Amino acid sequence: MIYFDNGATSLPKPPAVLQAAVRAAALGNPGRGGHRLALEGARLLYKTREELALHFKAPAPENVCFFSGATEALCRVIKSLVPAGGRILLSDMEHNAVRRPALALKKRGVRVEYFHGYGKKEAILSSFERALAGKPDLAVFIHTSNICPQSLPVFELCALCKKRGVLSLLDCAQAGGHLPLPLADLQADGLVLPGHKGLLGLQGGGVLLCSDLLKEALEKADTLVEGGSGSASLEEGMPALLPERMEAGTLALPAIASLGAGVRFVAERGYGAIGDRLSRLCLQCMEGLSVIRGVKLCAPHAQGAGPILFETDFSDNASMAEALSLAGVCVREGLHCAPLAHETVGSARHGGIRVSFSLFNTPAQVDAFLKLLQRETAALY
Amino acid sequence: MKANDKGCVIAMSSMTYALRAEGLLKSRGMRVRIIKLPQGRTKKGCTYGLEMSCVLTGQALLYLNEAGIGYGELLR
Repeated sequence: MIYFDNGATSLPKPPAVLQAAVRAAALGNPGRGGHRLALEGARLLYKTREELALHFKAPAPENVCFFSGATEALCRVIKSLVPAGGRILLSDMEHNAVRRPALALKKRGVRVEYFHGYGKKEAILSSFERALAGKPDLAVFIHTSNICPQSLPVFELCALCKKRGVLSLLDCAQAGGHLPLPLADLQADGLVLPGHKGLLGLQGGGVLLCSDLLKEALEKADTLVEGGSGSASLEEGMPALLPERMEAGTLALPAIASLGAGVRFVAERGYGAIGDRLSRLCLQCMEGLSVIRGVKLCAPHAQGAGPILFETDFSDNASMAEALSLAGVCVREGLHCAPLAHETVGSARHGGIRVSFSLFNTPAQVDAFLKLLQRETAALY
Repeated sequence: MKANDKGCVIAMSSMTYALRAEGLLKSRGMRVRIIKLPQGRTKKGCTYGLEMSCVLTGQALLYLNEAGIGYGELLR
C-alpha cells in the first residue's frame, strides 16, 4: 500500500504517538475532580499546552486552546469575533472550514470579502492591501493550500494586518508539521492546526494558538458553546479566561496527548529535514506527472509548497482514483472540501486528483506510483 | 506539608492557572499542592486551589503578582 492522502490525515502514525494516546486513555478527566487520575490527566493536558506554546512561540500555555479539530477552532473564532453587520476577509483559496462559517455569518448581515490568494506573491499582496482598506473585523487565510502547491506570503500578510489593526487568523491545516510556524515571529494573532495531519497525531484534536490580543478579544466575546468547565460551576456563564472559556465539555485527551507526541516527533526530525524530504518528493512527482501522456497538472501558477493536483484526459477522476486504489495507491479525488480554491485555480468543473505526502513517503513510492499511473493511462489509449 | 495538614489555600480561577502557579511556586522552592476545594469554601462553586503552609502565602502571592498570574480568595 502506498499512502498519498496525507492532506486528509497522515498515515502511518509514529509508535510514540500511539503510545501517548494509549497512556492518556488510562487517565481521568482533566479538571474534573481532585483525585489522582484526574490530576494526572490535568497535568498531561497542561504539559501539552506548555510544549505547544514553546514549539509555536505562543506567549503562554493559557494561549493554547484545544478543540475537536481545526474546523471547530476556526468556526469558533470566526463566529466569536465578527459582529453582526461586520466584515470578514478571506482568500479565494479557502477550505470550507473557513468559507462555510464565514458565509453562515451573512445571515447576521456580515459582509464576506475576498482577496486573491493564487499565483505570485506581489499580486497576492496587492490584492490583500486593497481588501484591507475595507477595515475587516477579521482576516482569515490559509498558510498553504490543501489542493495545490500554493503558499501565501503569510509574514507579509500578517504584518499588514498588524499595521492596519486587523486581527489575523491563519489556517495552518496543511502547513503544520511541515515547516516552523512561530506565532510571535509571524506576527499573526492566531494559528489553527489539526492534530492529525502533519503533526502526526490522532483524529479528534485541534489547537488554536493565540496572541495576547486575540486571547483578550476571545475573552470579551460571547461564548458560542457552553457547558461544564470543571471550575466556577455556580456561575451562569463560562469562565472568564481562556483556555477554559473556549473548552466546554470533556476534551479528547488521548488525541491531545498524541498531538503533543507528534510535535515532539517532528521537532526531533527537524523542520529542515522534513521540508527537504517533502520538497524532493513533490519535485520528483511533478516532473514524473508532466511527462505522462494524457496527464495534466492543475493549478499551473501555484507558487510554494503543498499537495499536487492533476487530472487525466481519458478518465473521470473518480474512476482513475479508484483504479489507483485497487492497485494499492491511496490518493484523493474531487473538490477536497475546497470548491472556492478549485474555482480560483480553474479546476472546479471536474475537480482533480490530489497527491499529498508525509515525511514517511519515499522516492521509491513516487516511482511506483508514476509507473502505475503510466500503465493505467496507457491502457486507456 | 503532609496531605492531612491544614494549611492555607490560594483559590485559582481554573485548573490551567492552578498548574501554572504550581509550576512557578515549585520552581521557587515552595512546597505546594493542588487540591479541589470543598464545596462552599468559595462563592463560585467548584474551584481548585494551591495548598501550602500559611507562612508561605505572602511570598507566594508576591510571586504570583510578579508573574501576572491571577488568583482568587486566600482561604485559611
